[in-house]
Amino acid sequence: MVGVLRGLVVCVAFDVLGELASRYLRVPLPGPVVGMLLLFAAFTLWPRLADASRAGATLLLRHMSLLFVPAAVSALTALSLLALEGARILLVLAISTTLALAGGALAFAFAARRPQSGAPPGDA
Amino acid sequence: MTEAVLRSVVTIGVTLVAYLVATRLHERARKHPTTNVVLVAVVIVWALLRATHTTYADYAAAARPLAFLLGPATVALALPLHASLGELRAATRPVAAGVLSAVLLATTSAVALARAFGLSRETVLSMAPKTVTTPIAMAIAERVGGSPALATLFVMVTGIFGALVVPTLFDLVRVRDPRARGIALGVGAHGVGTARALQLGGVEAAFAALGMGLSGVLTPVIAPLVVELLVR
Repeated sequence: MVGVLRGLVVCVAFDVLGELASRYLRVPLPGPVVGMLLLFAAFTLWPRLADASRAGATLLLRHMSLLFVPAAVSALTALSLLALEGARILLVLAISTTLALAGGALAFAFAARRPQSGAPPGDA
Repeated sequence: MTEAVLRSVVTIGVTLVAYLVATRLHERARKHPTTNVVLVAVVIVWALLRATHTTYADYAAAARPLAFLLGPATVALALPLHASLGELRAATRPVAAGVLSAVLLATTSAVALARAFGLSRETVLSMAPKTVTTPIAMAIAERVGGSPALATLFVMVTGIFGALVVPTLFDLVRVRDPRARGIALGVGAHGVGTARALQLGGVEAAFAALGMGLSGVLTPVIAPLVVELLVR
């Protein structure tokens, strides 16, 4: 329990830090992303912090879906817009997601097949 | 207790129960993506709001303490990112190629197609951040002049669609490398895709977490640029 709380406190603290950095240092990234990067840097500098935060961070990650529910319910207010544009919106989302998934996987596989710089091009 | 506090406690309690029921159903259905936990929980909450004549706005205001935790949850993604540091170092170039291609393809195709299909300006602007995890997508949508509510809706649809079409889509384009599949899922379908990757395998999951984290960093930079270029 104490271990879980410790991790939660770390995540909340870095969220606040990120929010402050995003707002007052004019970092062009959302606060939570800045917080994630700062915490990632902190974990790399002090690996013991990662161990200390593991239980709390894992709890947050495992139940992230719960935290999406209020935002998703609010999204229902946007459903009225879909009455007019719904079919076209779904089509755009389907095509675009297919392109991103296939394109991303193919790009990774293609780059992985080529040898890292320096070595002569070998057989795939 | 004041009435507002009482309302928040009841609202969060109801949301928790809906989430637990949805989780149980998801496990019963062997984690089939159509029984997505968020989707089912939303349907339950929606039905309850209908039955009690509560507006979405009242619900959202009372549930705010839950939404507040999304920030710390996003920060917690530093953990899987840190855990896969070794694999990242061993595959820097492919990871960079995969993440960059997926982010660029997702944002440009969504904005360009939405424009080509004659969708409203607000819809087009809210499309740009659709592949990124919800809290970040909401922040980006707000920044580029879209609607956070619409962006959330698009993010949800994207995640569920992405989880549904894999691994069939990967087989179709003949990508077997589990690292490539993971990266594509993390970038292309964010948290829902990462949850799906967890079912495909450990390597897929680690790279999905990595992809989701990197896309969370890249998309806030790229999405406003794409909007700037494609929407006048």
